[in-house]
Amino acid sequence: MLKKITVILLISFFVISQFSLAQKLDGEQVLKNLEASRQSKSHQMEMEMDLYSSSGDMRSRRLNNYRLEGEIERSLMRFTEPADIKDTAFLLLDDQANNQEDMYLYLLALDSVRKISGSQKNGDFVGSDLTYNDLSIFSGANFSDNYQAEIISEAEKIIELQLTITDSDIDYSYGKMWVRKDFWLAEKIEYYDQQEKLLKIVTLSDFDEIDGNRLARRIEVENVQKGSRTILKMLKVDFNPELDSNIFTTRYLQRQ
Amino acid sequence: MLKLKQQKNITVTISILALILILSFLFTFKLAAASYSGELSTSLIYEQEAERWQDQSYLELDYQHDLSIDFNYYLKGALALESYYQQNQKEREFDFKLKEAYLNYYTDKIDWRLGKQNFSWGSSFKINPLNYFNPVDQGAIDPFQSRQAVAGIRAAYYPNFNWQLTGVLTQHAEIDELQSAVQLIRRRWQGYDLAASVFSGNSL
Repeated sequence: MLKKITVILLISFFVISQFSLAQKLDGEQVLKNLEASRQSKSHQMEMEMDLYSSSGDMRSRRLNNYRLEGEIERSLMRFTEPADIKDTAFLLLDDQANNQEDMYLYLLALDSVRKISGSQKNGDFVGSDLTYNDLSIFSGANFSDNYQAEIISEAEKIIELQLTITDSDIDYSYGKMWVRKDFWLAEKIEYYDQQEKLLKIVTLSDFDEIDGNRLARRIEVENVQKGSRTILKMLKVDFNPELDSNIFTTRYLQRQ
Repeated sequence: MLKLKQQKNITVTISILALILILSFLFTFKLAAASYSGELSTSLIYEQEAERWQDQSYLELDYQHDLSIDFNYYLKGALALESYYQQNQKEREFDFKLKEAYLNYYTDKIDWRLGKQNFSWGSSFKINPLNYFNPVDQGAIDPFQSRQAVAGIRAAYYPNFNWQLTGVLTQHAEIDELQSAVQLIRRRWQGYDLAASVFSGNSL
């Protein structure tokens, strides 16, 4: 009888421990959960971008963001207001299979399409606190394309990750991310510069779920070293609209 | 180099198209299909050699009217009021310029642009060796306003995303002569964009 009880207890303990191991998350799984929060094949957003300088001056801009998944992930941002930046556009083409990411910037004042490559990708996007590399993440790209993650700590509602940069074009030394387990969305990201000093804090808030896709409607990027801030607000969001792939071309950037 | 008669024919053709543009503007004006914007700037400059102050107010207006999804026209004009102050003397000049005026027509594979326009070849900003056509005003206060538009025709052929073939025929900005050029662009080749161009005519 005692032998039977011992065997049953050992088997139970083994099963429970396996179950616990199966539930234990790693950084890669957290990033996959983040990617799974959005299942749409395309989206169209109307956004507002508020730029705050270190002295507190504010400039406001409006833009439209389009994204189309596929063999090549395509993203287009086009400014609509104010008049001095209207029709300035940014095109991103990410060919994951061939490890090729192409970025193009169109300036109406020059009427020319300029390729953004190499170290230019770490430059500020039209005077904001976002770099061109940051844009590729916040326009819907997957974190796992550019980062590896390791769990630093895990609480009931929040997981803290250490991000290792895997894309050599990105100028940060490393990052940290705090992920909400209820939404599987990041609520805060910190980026550190090459001297390993805190450079930027990205705060995501106003979480929402539309057609099964979760997103943060407010993204604040604070450059701690410069004292400036950029706030992105998603005013209108439409998931899975019918988008013509021809709009994701340099030809369309220049078209009036 | 084309003969003088052919140059005049091209000039007449452009003038006729400009007239059509004005007439269609007058008779088909619809605010819903039009967009316009303007910019007002003022500047105060001291000219050291002339020992005088220059006060310049500059109003730039641009207007675009979409006649259909594939056909539109664009106008940009500028009003400049310049005042010069030297000792007790004051002079004023008023000037209006039609800076750009052209028609856009888009087909399935080709984008056409006809009229007074800037031809943007090359991606560099101030020093652009590929700027065959547009003279640059080195004294312009705003560098984005430094290029001067010229009359001409541009056709850009896009067989697919990665290739672009552009042909340009223009009137030289300073002498009575035609210029022409062809540019071939190959995008996203091993992470690079490549371009080659051939130019015929007198450079600026």
